[in-house]
Amino acid sequence: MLALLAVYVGAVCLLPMARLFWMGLAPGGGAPDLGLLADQLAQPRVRTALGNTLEAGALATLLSVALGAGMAFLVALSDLRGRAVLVFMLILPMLIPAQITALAWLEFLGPSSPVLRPLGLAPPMGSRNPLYSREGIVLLLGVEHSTIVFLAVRAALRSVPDDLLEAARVGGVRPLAATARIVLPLTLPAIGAGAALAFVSAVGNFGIPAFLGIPGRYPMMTTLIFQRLSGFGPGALNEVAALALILAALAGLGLVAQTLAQRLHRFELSGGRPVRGFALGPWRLPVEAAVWAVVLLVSVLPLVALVGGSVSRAVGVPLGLGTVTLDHYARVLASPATTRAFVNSTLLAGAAAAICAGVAVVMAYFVARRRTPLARALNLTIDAPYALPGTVLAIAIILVYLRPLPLVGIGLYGTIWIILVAYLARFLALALRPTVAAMAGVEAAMEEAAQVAGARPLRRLTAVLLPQVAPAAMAGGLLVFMGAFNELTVSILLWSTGNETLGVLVFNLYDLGATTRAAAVSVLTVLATLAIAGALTLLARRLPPGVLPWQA
Amino acid sequence: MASLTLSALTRRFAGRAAVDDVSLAVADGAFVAILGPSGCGKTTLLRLVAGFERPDAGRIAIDGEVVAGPGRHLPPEARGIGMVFQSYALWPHMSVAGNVGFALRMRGMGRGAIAARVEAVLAMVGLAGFGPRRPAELSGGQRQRVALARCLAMEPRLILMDEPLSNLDAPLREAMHVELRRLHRESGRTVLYVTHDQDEAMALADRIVVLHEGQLQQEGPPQTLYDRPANRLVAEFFGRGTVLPIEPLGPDGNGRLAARLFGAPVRLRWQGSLGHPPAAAVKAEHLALQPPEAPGAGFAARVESCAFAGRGYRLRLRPLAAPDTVLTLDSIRPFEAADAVAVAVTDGFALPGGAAPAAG
Repeated sequence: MLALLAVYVGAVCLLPMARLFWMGLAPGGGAPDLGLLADQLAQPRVRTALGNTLEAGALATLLSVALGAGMAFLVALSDLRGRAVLVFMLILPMLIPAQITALAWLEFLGPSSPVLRPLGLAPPMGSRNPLYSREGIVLLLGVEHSTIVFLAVRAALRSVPDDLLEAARVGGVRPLAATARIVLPLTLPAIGAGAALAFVSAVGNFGIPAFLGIPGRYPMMTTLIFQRLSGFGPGALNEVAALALILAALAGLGLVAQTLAQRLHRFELSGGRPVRGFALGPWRLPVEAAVWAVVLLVSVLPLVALVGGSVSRAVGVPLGLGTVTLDHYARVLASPATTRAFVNSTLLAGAAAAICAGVAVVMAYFVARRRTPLARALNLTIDAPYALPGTVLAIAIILVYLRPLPLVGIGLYGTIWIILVAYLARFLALALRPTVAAMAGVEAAMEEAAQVAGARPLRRLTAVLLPQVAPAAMAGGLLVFMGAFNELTVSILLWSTGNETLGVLVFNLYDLGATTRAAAVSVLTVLATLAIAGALTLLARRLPPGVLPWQA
Repeated sequence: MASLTLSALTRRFAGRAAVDDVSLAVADGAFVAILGPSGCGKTTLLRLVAGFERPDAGRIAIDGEVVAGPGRHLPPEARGIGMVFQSYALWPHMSVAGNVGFALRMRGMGRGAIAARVEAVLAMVGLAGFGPRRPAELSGGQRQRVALARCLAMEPRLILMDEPLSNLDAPLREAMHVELRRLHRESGRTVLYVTHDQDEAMALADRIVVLHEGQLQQEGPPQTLYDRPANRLVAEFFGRGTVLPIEPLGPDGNGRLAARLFGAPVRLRWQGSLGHPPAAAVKAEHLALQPPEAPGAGFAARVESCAFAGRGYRLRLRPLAAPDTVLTLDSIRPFEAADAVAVAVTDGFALPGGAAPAAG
């Protein structure tokens, strides 16, 4: 069983990553040769893209930290009303895939904005969308990944016991000073780790630089790799592998920073209620107004604009009762290409979810129950394809599966199966984490009691352990489904005609200028995503704490 | 129903022996408590018998059949034992009946037979009709009974219990003591019961095994351990005893040992040998305050503190002859700190020298 697992993880996760590093560092196939990497780094276009990625990534991280950490402190340390709704709204950007975020913001801030135009705030008709710029990319990346910082800081704030603050208050320290002197130092490691993760996500993002940066002539590493691969095909694979390796190194720096920040988190914070926060007093109403204004701007209005765009007759036609139309939905739903993409994405996401959840249960058993060293090593390797940018993973998958498989002689490249393999690698970590947490939460005596009762190992897994980790594995599967259903970064590099995913469909529609239809498809996928999020929320009571980010 | 024999059993963790060369014979139908402070190796001993741990040396035999020893290790599922866990380890996704009947299902027993046995066992622990409920709907005491029923339903040769009552509050625990005695009497099964609570061990067990740092200190009926501790460790751990130094004077001719304790003459029970240095195990009830008008043969002491304790006062004293020693005893009237008192030692047991005596 463990051997099968090792082969699976090896084929799906380990081999592609190893091959990428080998190709990038020793393209000749023999001794290490950094010539290819050096060649690439010498090219002006690569240098520009690398510089842009660093610049936009760093600036976006600053924005993410300001927004995410600021909101986390306000939500955790003050008596704002409606915090449950607020938290969901703040996490909403995470549930919306980058390409749809980009589309929504383009609608929102564009000259024909259904939100700004009635207010007379939209840019003049015919002018360029202000988001087609470095600032636009930084704004959207910052907003999109502020959720990561928000969640990290919020979790840290919740582990600060209230009595630490009460002790300070009793000692005569005012709320602001207590926050700055006690809470802030305790949450600094979390802020650092969240910032590092936001940076990794920003440099690995494809949807936003693709939608804003390609028209805005602000190339980043992910878009450069995409353009090289689609421009030259697999012939440019060596070069593209070197580029992917550079991107991986960039993300790797962020991941190292994250690990270091987490190492700092050595405070013994145990016991006691979590912080309850301070009364804002007369400031409560103004602060609430400001917070909701930000939430409205960041999470709500872009989606409203997206819906508005999807029901407007044509780009530029002002939205009114008479001009609202569902024609685009009708056309989209009638088009075979759309149906095909929906079917493809549903099948891919469904298969990835089911397989990942199943593998996760077996793997969690070996990781959390048997604690086999091999299983623990596998557990570490599967983090790489999830943590590193999707672009890097896609290139790695191509490198391995471009050629026909040994023994059977069938090639996966150019079929839908290569996308499935990539999804299996990318999302296994999502299913595994909650399952391992649940498996570790099942007390050892539970299994021992079954053993005393005469149950053999397989029976113990199915009769005693499986029922107890099933909700977590299912939740993991649904998280995989949500991630895979809207996925663009990986599939854009692996798709072929007939095998489009929803993400690819939206990208292609947008590329062709069919913005309204792209918006209609996006609205439908967002609705599907929210429905799954709702299903997960219903499951939440039976899950280990922390599985659902929006409920943490 | 089975006898259990441990021979020179040893289990090491990272070089340290958690169970160190323990030999023990448990008779068929006995209720044996394994007693010791936390970390003494008692749980490891139980897990060795269950089969969750493999011994590094020695062997375990149930009814003469070696289940663990050099070259042989029967897994827990093949040992025919039942176990009650400290946390109960009830499977939350199964009903009470599902939990109790699980082992029978594993054996391939028919549905009807399982249902009948489950209901009978639930009635035995006072939970008749609780079958369809979920563990989460039950109180702590009820869960405890379900865990017990699950163990009894298997009709094990040997029942192992790992501090099964430690999660219950005191009144419930006492009720369960009565219940466990009754179940043991009715089923006649051999029970190995791990606890750190000496009162519980005395209330439940026919025989008690005291373990310290993995080594067996003494084994025998509770009365023996209480009255005649084999060594200082047993005397101090068991029966709230104090071990005090004595100056032996010699046999008094009536089978007792005449000696001086803090200068006062005492007559001690003894077994003919003395440890080095000579010492006596003295319980709180063996210390008596002398009336001030008749100090008699007591030793002089100074009151350190006096606390109201309901029916009387609890005194902490320091003998003048040994100011580093603190003795506790009960008084019906209060004292002030620094008051001078005299204390008579009415009884005591001279700790034997040499190896622990055989069980008596």
